[in-house]
Order: sequence, then structure tokens, then C-alpha cells
Amino acid sequence: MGTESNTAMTEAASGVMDLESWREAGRPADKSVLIPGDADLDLDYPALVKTARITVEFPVFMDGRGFSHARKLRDLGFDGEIIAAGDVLPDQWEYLRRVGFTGLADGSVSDSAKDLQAFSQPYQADTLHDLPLFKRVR
Amino acid sequence: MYRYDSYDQTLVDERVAQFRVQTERYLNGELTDAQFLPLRLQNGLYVQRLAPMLRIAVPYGLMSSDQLRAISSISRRYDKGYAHISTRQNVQLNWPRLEDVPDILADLAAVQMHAIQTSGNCIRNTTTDQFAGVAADEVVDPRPYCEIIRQWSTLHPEFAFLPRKFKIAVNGAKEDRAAIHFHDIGIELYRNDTGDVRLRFLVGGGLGRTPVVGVPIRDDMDPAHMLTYLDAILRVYNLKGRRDNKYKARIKILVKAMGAEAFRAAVDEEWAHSKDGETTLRDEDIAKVAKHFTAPPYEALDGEAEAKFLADAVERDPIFAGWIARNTQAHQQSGYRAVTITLKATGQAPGDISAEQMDAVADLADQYAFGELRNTHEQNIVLADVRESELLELWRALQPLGLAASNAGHITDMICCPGGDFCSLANAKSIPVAQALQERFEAMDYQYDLGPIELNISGCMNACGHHHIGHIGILGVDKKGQEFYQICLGGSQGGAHGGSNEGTAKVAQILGPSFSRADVPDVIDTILSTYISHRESDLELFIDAFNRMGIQPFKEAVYGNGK
Repeated sequence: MGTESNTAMTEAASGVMDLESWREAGRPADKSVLIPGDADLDLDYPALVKTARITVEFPVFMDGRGFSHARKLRDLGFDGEIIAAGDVLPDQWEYLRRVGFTGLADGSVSDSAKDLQAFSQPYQADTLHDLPLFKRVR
Repeated sequence: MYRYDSYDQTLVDERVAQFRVQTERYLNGELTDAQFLPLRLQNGLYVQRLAPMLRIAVPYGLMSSDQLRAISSISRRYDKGYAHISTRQNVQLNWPRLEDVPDILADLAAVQMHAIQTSGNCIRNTTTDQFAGVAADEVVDPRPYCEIIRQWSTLHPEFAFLPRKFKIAVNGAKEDRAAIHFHDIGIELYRNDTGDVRLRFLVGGGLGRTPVVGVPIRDDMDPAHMLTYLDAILRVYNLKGRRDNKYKARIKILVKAMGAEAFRAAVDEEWAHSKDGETTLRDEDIAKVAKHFTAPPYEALDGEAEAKFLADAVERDPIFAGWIARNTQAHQQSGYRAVTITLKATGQAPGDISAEQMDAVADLADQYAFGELRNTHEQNIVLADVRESELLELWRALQPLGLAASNAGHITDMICCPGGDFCSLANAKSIPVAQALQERFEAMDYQYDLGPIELNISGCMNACGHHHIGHIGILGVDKKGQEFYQICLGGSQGGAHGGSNEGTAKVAQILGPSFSRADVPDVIDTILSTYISHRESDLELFIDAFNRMGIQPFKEAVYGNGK
């Protein structure tokens, strides 16, 4: 579904490969790859870690697979940008950042989303907090 | 019990502020219904047939008297002056106004309560044994582990948009009073040969349309790894659970589809990345939480004198004797017992409690039970630490409140979902069925001659009334727009009152074609008479007689020999 979407079409022009093309090209490193949020990436993670930039396109905001994709890429050592695109709610931005997203695709949510950070000391370790609360401050 | 520190309090206060803004944006039209839906659900607000319902989280069922008074006060101010105890040990308000919910949440935050993740496709309230910390058969106190899971699951950034709701239960006693075989994840705490605490994980249990007994996927785990292993299970489920069909989205369907072995392997692969990582629990991390769950300041009692006082009172009053036998439990501490206050009086919806009753029960908790209360998954309230010599006074104080029914564990102490009177999912009403059965069986002697029986009623196959694991289960079904009731027999949650097959969780078998609501009491009567006439002695419990004889004698009695 992501390969047919507007995001895919516009970004294709700027050198972004959609997941299928990237797979067909032999999963090259140093590319920007657009991943549909509902994709099964079991065979792709090792090569995805070597790409330059990853955009995860959420098919619907209720589909939370993209959160685990991002967190897993970070766990595996990916240190490039991870961008959230598609159907994303401003209220999800805080969780998105905490699992490893670094930005939002243009137009996916309004700028005001960036003000919505609500929680100063969450319980869990995440990409913004090296330690869980019980080791961080308690 | 667990008391918030400044970090817990700040987080709950921040959540209230966040939801206040979200509610304003919704009411101003900045958020659509669909966008507001997960936000309100994850703050406990669920729209029912007649009004929104607000589900207040009571972590693992444990409440202070001040918290119960606050709920009472909220129910008077913002609702209709009563509340409902749910099968997840939570508290529900049936009639709040959406506009008031941010204020209600602020009032709750003032007493260290919230409604976070009590609805929606996220990790729900972790449940456990209502007798945790006091049960005579306890091996490991589950409360510190439940609290650690509560913190881990609260606002977990990766698992707020799961395929479906996700429920975890923990048991640390010999009897399983937490139904861990029927949860998405069940954790059993036990001790190994050298006395160290170990964890056993079950996954993929559940009720609903497809009742399944959970399968064991890991044994002999050091508690240090509890959270990293939970993360690994949840990640596999979040990535691989079905999202195309909400009836196939629970983890039980994924575990069945993959097979337990493949599921375990997938979890292990995820776990390899996080095991021994930063979320690993050190001994001191567990000890720090466990400090909140130390024993209350028990008095050093003369156990024999307490027991004699109680025995004398029991001797003098057979009604009190019945209440002691059925509504109180053996305790770890000499001279004390745990008391179950059943919320199942005839004419009352099972699990409902009025504001006046809440205030009075809170006062009794202060007076007799160190100010602590527990909600049970049977929709009752427990005072866990009462002196034996004070039980008579407590019982007398409960009488004018209509809370002294001595039916705990018996047929009128039924589990019942809100049903078609409140719930928009229900196929049929459940509360009137419960009331008809209460009226039929409240005649004391007959009910108690029957011995312990668990009767559970659900108004639809989502099974919120746990009909699959009742010794007798009743399920509301819709037949061409009419309400009918299917009856099933022989279910067991695998623990309390489980008869001599304790520890064997089982899904009930369907008796046969369904009945009209008016026929249900007669059918249940026939089933019970069949049990009475077939039991080997009055010591053989209903569930044991059923397991010995099978369903056939009951079928014949209800439908005649032709079927």
C-alpha cells in the first residue's frame, strides 16, 4: 500500500527507494528507504541497519507496528534518521520520538505537535532515556 | 500498599493535563471522533449504550480507604451515586459526562489514582490474587511484581497501539485465584529447590469467542528478566498479531497460528537483544518496590484466645457461623482472617456498590483492616486483615448496610457483566438473569446445601462475565432479534473453589440448545437437582460430580432422554 501512496510518489523523485524496489535491488546500503508500516521486515532488518535514512509510512494511526519497527532498528544499531509518514496523530509524536523516530514527514502532522510533549520522566528506558526510571532517578 | 513518589505523582498529573487539552480539542472540533477514540479509551472513557463509562484503574485490585472515599465522592458529584466493581478488579462509573472527565481524573490524581490504559488496544490493568500477601497457601507475594509490571506497562511508548487489548495476570499461591491460564500472559511465581523466586510464563490464554487455555513458554526464569521478556513477547505480538479482523487479533490466535514452539523461538530472538540490558531488574530494584508491601502493624495476639472468642460466637449464632465459614479465609498471621464482602445482594446488580456503602466500607476498613481494601475478580470487596475477635462486630456493622450476605463462593455470588442494560456490544441482558437466579436461590439452606458453585453470566460472546470458566456458565445470544441463553457446564478458572481438581483450568462444555430468559431459573434448578440426586455424598462438590459423571446426566435431565 505504501508503494502506491502519495508520499512514495513524491519521495521517489528525490532518491528514496520504496521497500519493494530496495529489496529487488539487493538491499543496497546507504539508501533512503520507504517502508510501509504494515510490512513484515524479518528478512530486511540486517540490511536496513546499513541504510542512510528510513521513512515508516503508517497505513492508519491505530496500526502500531511502526513503533516496534523503529525501536527494533535502534536496538540493532541503526543510527540514521527515522521519519514517520502517513496517518500519524500529533498526539503520537511523543511516543514516536521515544521509540526512535527523529522526525515527521512534511504535512503528516502540524507543527504544534512538537509542543505536545507531556511527560517529563517516563517509566521506561527508550531512545531518549538510556535507563528506566528505577535506575535513572530513583 | 504502594504509595506514589514524586515521579509517579508527576506522571499522573501530567496525564490529566494532557487529557484536558485533548478533550478541549475534541469539543472544539480539532480532533475527529476517530482521532479522539484511542485517546479517550486509553484514559478509561468508553462509550456505552446510554452514556460514556469511565473505568478507573485499581492496580491489582488494591485500594486504600481514602481512595474508596474519593470514588464515592466522585460518584455523588459527577455520577448517579454508585459504582461498579469489574472483573479486572477495577471500578467503573456508568454515567459521567465527557466534559467532566478531566475534572474527575484530577480528583482521582489527588488520591494517587488514574484511568490510564483501562480501555483500548493497550496493556490493561495487571490482576492478581485478592488474598495476596495474606493467603495461607501463598508461595511468593505477587504484589511487588504486579507493581513493577504496572510501571513498565504504563505509557509504554511501543505498545500503545497493539492489535487488540492485552491482559496480564500474576499468581503466587498454590491455588490460582488469578485465572492466569485465561490471560494473554499469565505469570506464575514459585520457588525453586534452593528457595529462590522463579517465574513461569504462560501465553495465549483467553476467553471471548474462542476460549483457550494458555500454553507455557518459559519456566525457571530469574525475576531479573521479567520486564525484558515481557518486552520481547509484546514486540512479537505487536509486529505479528493480526490486525485485519478484530476477532482474530488477540495473542491467542497468533500463538495458535504460529504454534507454541515457533512463537517461543520468535520471542527468544527478540529477547536476545534486550536480555541483560538496561531494563534488567537488580535485586535492589525488586526489594525497593517490595518494601511498599510489608505486613501491616499486626498486634501480637494470643491466637488461642482469638480463636476461642470466634468459636464461641459461631456457636451462639448459626447465621454468623455461615458467614464465617463462607466469607472468611485462613490467614498467614495468627489471630487474623481475610473477609469477603459480597456485592451480590438480591435486587442489586452484581458488583454494584452505592456511595453510602462505599463510605461505610471505607470506615470499616479503617476501623478493622488497617485502611486497606481489595477488589476481587468475582466483583466483591475483601478486607484482608481482620482480627478474629473483631469479626462479630464487623459482621454486625455490615448488616444494616445490606453487605452481610454470607454467600461468598456460592451460587448467588455470581460473576455478571453489565450486559444489554448498559453495554452496546451485548446480545442480551445479563443483570435480570442474575437477579432472577438470586431470587430463586436466596433461600439460605438450599443454597448452602449445594456447596461452593461458581456461576458466571455474560451478555455476549466477548465473555466479560467469564461464562466459559464458571462451573455453570450462562451466555446471552441473539436469535433473530430475540434474547436467548446458552448454558455451559464444567468450566474452571483453575483455582478457588475448584474442587478436588484444583489447578486444572478448563473451558466449560455447552449443554445444548438455548433457552428463553424466563426458562433459565428452572433449567438451573434442574441442573442443581440433578447434581444433588447424583452426588456421592454432600461432600462431593458440583464441579467434582460433573467431572466424575460428565455432561450426559445433565443433558438428559434438562432436555429429556430423546436428546
